[in-house]
Amino acid sequence: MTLHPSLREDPPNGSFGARFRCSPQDLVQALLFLKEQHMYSMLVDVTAVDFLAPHCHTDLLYLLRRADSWNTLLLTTSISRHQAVASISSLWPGAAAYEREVYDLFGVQFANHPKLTRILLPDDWVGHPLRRDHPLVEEPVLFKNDVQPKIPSEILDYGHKD
Amino acid sequence: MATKTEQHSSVLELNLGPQHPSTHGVLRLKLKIDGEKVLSAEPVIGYLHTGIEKECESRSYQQIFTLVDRADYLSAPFSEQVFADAVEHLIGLEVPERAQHLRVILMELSRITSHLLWLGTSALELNMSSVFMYCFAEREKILSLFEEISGARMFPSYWRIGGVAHDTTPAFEATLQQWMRAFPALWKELDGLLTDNYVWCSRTQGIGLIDRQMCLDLMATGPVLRAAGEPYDLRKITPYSGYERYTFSVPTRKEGDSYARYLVRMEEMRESLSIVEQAFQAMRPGPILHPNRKFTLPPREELVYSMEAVIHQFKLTSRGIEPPRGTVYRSVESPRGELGHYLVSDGSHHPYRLRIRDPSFAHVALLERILPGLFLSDVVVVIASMDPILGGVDR
Repeated sequence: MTLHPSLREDPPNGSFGARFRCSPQDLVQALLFLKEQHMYSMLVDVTAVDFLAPHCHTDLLYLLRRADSWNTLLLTTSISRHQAVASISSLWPGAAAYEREVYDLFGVQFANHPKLTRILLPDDWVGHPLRRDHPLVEEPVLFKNDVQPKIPSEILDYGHKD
Repeated sequence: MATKTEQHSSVLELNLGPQHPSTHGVLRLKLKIDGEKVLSAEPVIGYLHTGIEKECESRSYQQIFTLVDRADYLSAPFSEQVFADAVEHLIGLEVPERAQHLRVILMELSRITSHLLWLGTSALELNMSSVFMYCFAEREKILSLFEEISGARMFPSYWRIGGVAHDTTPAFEATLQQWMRAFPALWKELDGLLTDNYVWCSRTQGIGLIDRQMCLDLMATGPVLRAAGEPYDLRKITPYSGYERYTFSVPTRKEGDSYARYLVRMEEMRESLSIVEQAFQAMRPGPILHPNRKFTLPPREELVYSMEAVIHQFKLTSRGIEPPRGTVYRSVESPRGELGHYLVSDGSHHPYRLRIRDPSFAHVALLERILPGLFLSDVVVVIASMDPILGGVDR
């Protein structure tokens, strides 16, 4: 396929038909190009993976499927913490809920999102739990007049020090 | 005679759920209604959020089976299959043929239980409690089959990386054969109760229309997409666990309404039965677990004489398997649609990230688009026709 200037090909991997990377600024353009020019009209998933090494960044993943051959394509874009990325809910209205989830769990800001609020966690939750530096804590069982502090889980070892 | 002010009544905000029997779990809908007409609907989710994805990052691969089981709690075998498939893909492990057949049998049985539960509760919403009784009685029989083969009724934990946990027992085979002979009659009965039922038809036909384009825009999959005319079935598109061996058709409808989704699911039950029969016939004696000791437990009797086996057993149970680095996305056709796992492995004994793409999430989100304009009494019908499982939505 003729590549859009914003797309860079990633090394192939057995489980995806193709893997591409693009810069966060070109995201909407790249997805529009894939949707309009290459029939990738089905958005399967929007999700993210958080990394601490070598530097803190979040990979946003867009999983697309072609409407005729059902080939799967993975588009990845890397953003740093506190960097906003454009919402793609104008291309796929259904993506709005998925972006809310990514915001909720990873703290990624989506510009021009119709309603960027927490979706799974309570509104007063502090932090974004799927970030790798968010500790997994165990909630003590609450008995009357016996409130214990949250204890960090002992099973978790992230192997990194801040 | 209503006065003018009553006719132009003000807009009422109504909370439907989260504790409401007809929202199929802890789904909350913020409805704005004018009389009986729904003006806007906002699904509010998260009441069942258990942080499974976060928890998976600190558990060994074998422990994760019990976690993903509980996401979509009505079709646990599919979660187990997709997770096992993802890990096996990462390692490059070939599952023995007998284990593949066993997996397919359990998955298709689970699809039937899931559809039966959906059918029973949907019918109950329209006050047809006899359908509910028939469905639940039948579902019970399949759950007993699950119990016979795996020891658990709803969360079998039957999958292992590289195969399955137990082989069939004579009791399982006999009961399964008996059930396969009896199920078509029950299916006919359910079909006779509903398909031409005047109340059922008039309540579901033309209600909750979702066409193909809307499905693609709103990321709907599974029976919702198939009821809109698209033969999208991952068992055909990207066959897994040997689905290419079986002959079955993908039921589709053109109408895209609640009734079409009902018909699609009913046909799917018949196709599932046919797949179970084919898999049962095709099953030959053989291993049910890959012999690679780095990833699968040695058989019990080997521990008696082999030090090597004891070491492997110890390593696998204490630390668990360590798949190579890599990322993989695998998906299965669950009763609700595309259930996908995106797995990132950093080579350690627990995943770096496990993303669960649950079909119900999109189906709940799209309620916002299709509910406005309907009557309040149709809202429950439409929710039921989407068949959302909130355990999967919230994860």
